[in-house]
Amino acid sequence: MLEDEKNLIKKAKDGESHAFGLLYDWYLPKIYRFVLLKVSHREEAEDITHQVFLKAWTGIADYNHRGFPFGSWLYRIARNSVIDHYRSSGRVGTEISLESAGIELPDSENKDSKIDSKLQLEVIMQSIPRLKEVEQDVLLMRFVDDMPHEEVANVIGKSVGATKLIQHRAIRNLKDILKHDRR
Amino acid sequence: MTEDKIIKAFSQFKGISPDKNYALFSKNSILEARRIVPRENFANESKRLIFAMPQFTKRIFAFNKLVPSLAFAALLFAIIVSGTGLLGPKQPKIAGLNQSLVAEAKQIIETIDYKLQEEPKTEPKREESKSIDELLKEATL
Repeated sequence: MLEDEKNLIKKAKDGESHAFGLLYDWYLPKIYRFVLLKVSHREEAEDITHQVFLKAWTGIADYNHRGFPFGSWLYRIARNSVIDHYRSSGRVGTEISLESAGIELPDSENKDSKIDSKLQLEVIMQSIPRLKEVEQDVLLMRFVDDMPHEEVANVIGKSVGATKLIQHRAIRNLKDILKHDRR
Repeated sequence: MTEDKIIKAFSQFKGISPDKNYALFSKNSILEARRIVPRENFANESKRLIFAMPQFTKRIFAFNKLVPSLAFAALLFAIIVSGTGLLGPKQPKIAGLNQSLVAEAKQIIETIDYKLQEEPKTEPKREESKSIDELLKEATL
């Protein structure tokens, strides 16, 4: 969570653009990668992310702090924006490479293992949009952004127990997709 | 692939970050958008609609679509005319006067009449009786 976030939110609610700018700087990478891994298209991810922050800035006067970080609210807006995007474009995910996503793997002595990891990552990245929306959301929030179950549950509007169950199913389904693709 | 490997792979996605130029441009345009549209306009839904109306009309005419433009113009005309009451039922006229004016005149006349009736009637003053001395005095003058 961003330091002094409550104070920044209060200032942003009063219309201080500098305060909102700091919230933007902190949350932009998180929201961007969440959207990118869901839509698998860089330009579309940039447009949707832009819309998310624009909606947040124009609607921040109505934002009420409920004990969760400001990011929870942004993730909720992002989820809805991605769904709206699918509805309007009718497109559901395309293939994206690690390079175009801006992912660089750490240097390894073993070249073969690096290639293996790269292939595995690309396969996983391309499999994410094939999961159910809520399964994608749970996996991305839990394992990319390390969000606790409680916060994820708040974003998706389910109980903590239900969120854990969705996570379990999501991993199982992803394993099935990967196994099926290997055949 | 094991569950651990999948979770480890997900953690590698933390390396994804947006282009710096995009981030800067997007941030500036978002903050600018709020500056152009005052905050209070977003607080009130009706104000927001009013704000959106000129954009809506501009968009219609900008595309140079004749039929929607005419339809919109006709709609606006109908709204204005109905608002001013020009399309409402006509008032019957009496000798060139509006019915409401006649009613108002009647009301004034009735009020005056009522006030006249309310005026206390002044009784003629009685002549005071005169004494014999006074009468004699008048007769001798």
